[in-house]
Amino acid sequence: MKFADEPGAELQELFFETSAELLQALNEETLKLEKRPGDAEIVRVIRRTVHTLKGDSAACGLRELSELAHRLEDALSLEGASAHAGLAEIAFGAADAFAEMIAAYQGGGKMPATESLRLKIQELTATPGAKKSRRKKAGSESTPRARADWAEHEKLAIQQAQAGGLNIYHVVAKIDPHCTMPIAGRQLIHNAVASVGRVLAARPEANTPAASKQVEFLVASRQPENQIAAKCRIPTIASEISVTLMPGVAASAEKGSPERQPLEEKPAHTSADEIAAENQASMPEMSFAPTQTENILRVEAGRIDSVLNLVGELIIGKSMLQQVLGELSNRYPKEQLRGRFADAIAFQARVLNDLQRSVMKIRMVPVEQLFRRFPRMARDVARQCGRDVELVVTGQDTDLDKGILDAIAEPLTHMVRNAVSHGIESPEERQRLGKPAQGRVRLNAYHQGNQVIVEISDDGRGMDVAKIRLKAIKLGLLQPEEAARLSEAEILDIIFRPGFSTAEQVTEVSGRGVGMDVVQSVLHRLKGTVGVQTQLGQGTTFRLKLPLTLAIIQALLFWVEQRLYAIPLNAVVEIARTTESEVHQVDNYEVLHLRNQVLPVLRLGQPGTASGDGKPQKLFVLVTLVGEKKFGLIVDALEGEGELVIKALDDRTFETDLVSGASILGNGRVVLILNLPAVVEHVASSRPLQTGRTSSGLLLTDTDRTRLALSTAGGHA
Amino acid sequence: MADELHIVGFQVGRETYGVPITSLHEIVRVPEITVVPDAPVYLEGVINLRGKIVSVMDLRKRFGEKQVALNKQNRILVVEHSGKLAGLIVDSASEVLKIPAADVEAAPSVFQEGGLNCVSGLGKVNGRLVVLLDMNKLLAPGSLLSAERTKKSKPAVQGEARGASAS
Repeated sequence: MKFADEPGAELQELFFETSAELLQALNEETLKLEKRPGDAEIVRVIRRTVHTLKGDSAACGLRELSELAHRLEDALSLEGASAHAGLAEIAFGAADAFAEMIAAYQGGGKMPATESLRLKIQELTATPGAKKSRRKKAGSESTPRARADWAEHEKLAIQQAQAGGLNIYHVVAKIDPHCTMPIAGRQLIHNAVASVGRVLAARPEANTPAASKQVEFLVASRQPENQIAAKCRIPTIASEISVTLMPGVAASAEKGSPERQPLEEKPAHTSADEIAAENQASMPEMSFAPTQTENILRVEAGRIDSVLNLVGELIIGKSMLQQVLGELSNRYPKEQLRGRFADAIAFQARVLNDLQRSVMKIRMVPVEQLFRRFPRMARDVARQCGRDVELVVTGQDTDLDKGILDAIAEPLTHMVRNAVSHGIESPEERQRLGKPAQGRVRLNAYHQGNQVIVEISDDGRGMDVAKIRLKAIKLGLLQPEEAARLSEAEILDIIFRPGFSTAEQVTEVSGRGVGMDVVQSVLHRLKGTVGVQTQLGQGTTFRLKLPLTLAIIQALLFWVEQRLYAIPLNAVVEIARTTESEVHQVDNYEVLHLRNQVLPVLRLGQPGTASGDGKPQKLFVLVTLVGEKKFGLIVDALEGEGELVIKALDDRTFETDLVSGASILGNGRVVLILNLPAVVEHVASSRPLQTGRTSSGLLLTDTDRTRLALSTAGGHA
Repeated sequence: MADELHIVGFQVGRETYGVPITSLHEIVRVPEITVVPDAPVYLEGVINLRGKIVSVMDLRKRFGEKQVALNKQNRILVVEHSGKLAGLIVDSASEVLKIPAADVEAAPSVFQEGGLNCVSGLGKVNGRLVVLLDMNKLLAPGSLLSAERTKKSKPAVQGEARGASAS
């Protein structure tokens, strides 16, 4: 089905956009209902949502959807409906059916079968004692009439505005019954009212069914009534407008100007012609009174990205300038202009920093956007698996880059699903273990330095390290002797290995591990890490560490084989200088003895080629933290730290996962950014196979290796 | 007129190759190349092309030349391939050739079987043969790696083994 050529295509687009929110609201309310069955207020909210959905879809000509919504709404408005036990179930079913229908409209797919749902709705209607309770229908169809039940804080605002010498008008607009998008119409009227003055109050709330018939505003303005009426009269949307001057509230009586005092309600009905004329007349002298409209722009993500790219270029430009300044200072140390040049650069750098942060902020969205879909999902999964699970979500307002948020959506869904279905025991088992029957899965997000942490924890059965160990040996992922040596944390890491997760019956063994390699690979791509902690019988916590943003990182630059590389600075724990003699061979591992700690190390270049001459050779070791593990990287020399704008390598030509990206320095040089988790994994996975000196020269190319081989061969000959 | 191919000719080894001028972005001197680890031999690395990172392939290595050394004549042909730029190191870039379509022969089927499937045809210019390259196939991810893949399935291990056996 294609709508582009049909009339109303735009309306439909708009509807598809807003319907997602409506469905989300429907799901959330139904979840609440499930917790507090029979709560009439929640049922009312649900009915309002369904009503809006019905109205909007009917306006867009989506007949099937509006018809189903209509039935549901009817059923919900019955007297006894809220007491019906299966109501939540039906509402969930309806929400799913609506979503499928909308997807079908959008993608041209098949309409979902709704017979069983209809049947259930009918059952609801057939409940004995159910009476039609269609109230308030007549009331809202009548002519616009004021309803003066303003809340306390609104009354206060009225008083204040009147004290300030403003007139308070009560604007009542009846929305044209033929208006195709009443909700949008309401917003348009709101905007119009806001353009003449300050909106103090609006009734009814947006997104309620009543809002599609009549709206009321309290507006503080200096403009005369007829002008306000003229502004609000929007053809095809607002059919009838009444603007009334509110009498001064008693408390402010003395302060107001005397001639304004004795005003009684004086409706100013205006005819269309009159208004059209006035509308034009009043245009030029439109006042810019402070408004309270929401200032939200919907911008295509691509546009923001291109701004971010430009900021990236500017940062490269900044480091170019700094480089030139450095050279200039060396060449003309006495030059007076130097200081001013430096000042200018510093100023520019500061502004650039702010600019970067601002652009970054645009891309940030609260994790709420992702988290809100989980309660419903957790409920469904729990239902399927016969679990009783409560999902506790905290830290929803933590901001995260939109791109990262989108990327973790799938892994996170997977992990929540896992936690509910495998992590939590069945209610009977839990009771037997002396735990509360209802399991609890926590989803939490928070900032930590330059990272965002997302945690999924459960109070379920936890993972049995011993069983994982056995399974890993059975699957051939570990040699028995190796397995015996590895620490618990290292064993737990095995669940992230591809081979482990695809294994059958893994649930029986560990309760987890299904598809965890997918999670891991997504996290690697994002330059984040995933770690796991578990306590047998107590529960499991997965911790995702994510960078705040994808685009720009603080990095440590170093040399290996006369080539410059970088790693993210926040992965570096410390930089140690040591000697070759401190590096020991243990089995096939190279380890470093550092302050009584034994640290696995990894050589990025070739070992000990520089002239040793009996002197203990100095080494630079970057101690890095990858996931939960510390790791030493032996590099040739350090360059310093810097701000790098990450540019992707053409991943069609380079298949390597050792490098996660590249960046351009101020001097035009290209620096490669290492993908630390992959580097570590590379070593870990190749270890058992190797003999002799291992884990060295990871960054050597084949050409280097040939050259080295030749030179050593020549040396020995 | 319409049936004339505009080809940028360049030398690799003793042969003249050609790519359609439409797929060429520009020709630059060889700048400093940043080597990417764990990549096939003929993937030279990446360069900074006015702020863009462009990956560079050494066509000479790709076509099996054994001894390659950079000299002043060497150029990088920057070509555009499905929206992305890629660089090709060649011995030297010569001229723009106009080849009548009638003078282009299809590539012999032997080429297809021999793994040189990136040849789209053979053009004749003044008695010389110009090997016309198909950019899509030359730069397609599959073709790039398939030749090396079998050989390089375990790069780190192999490198070590080579080092060990030689010493």
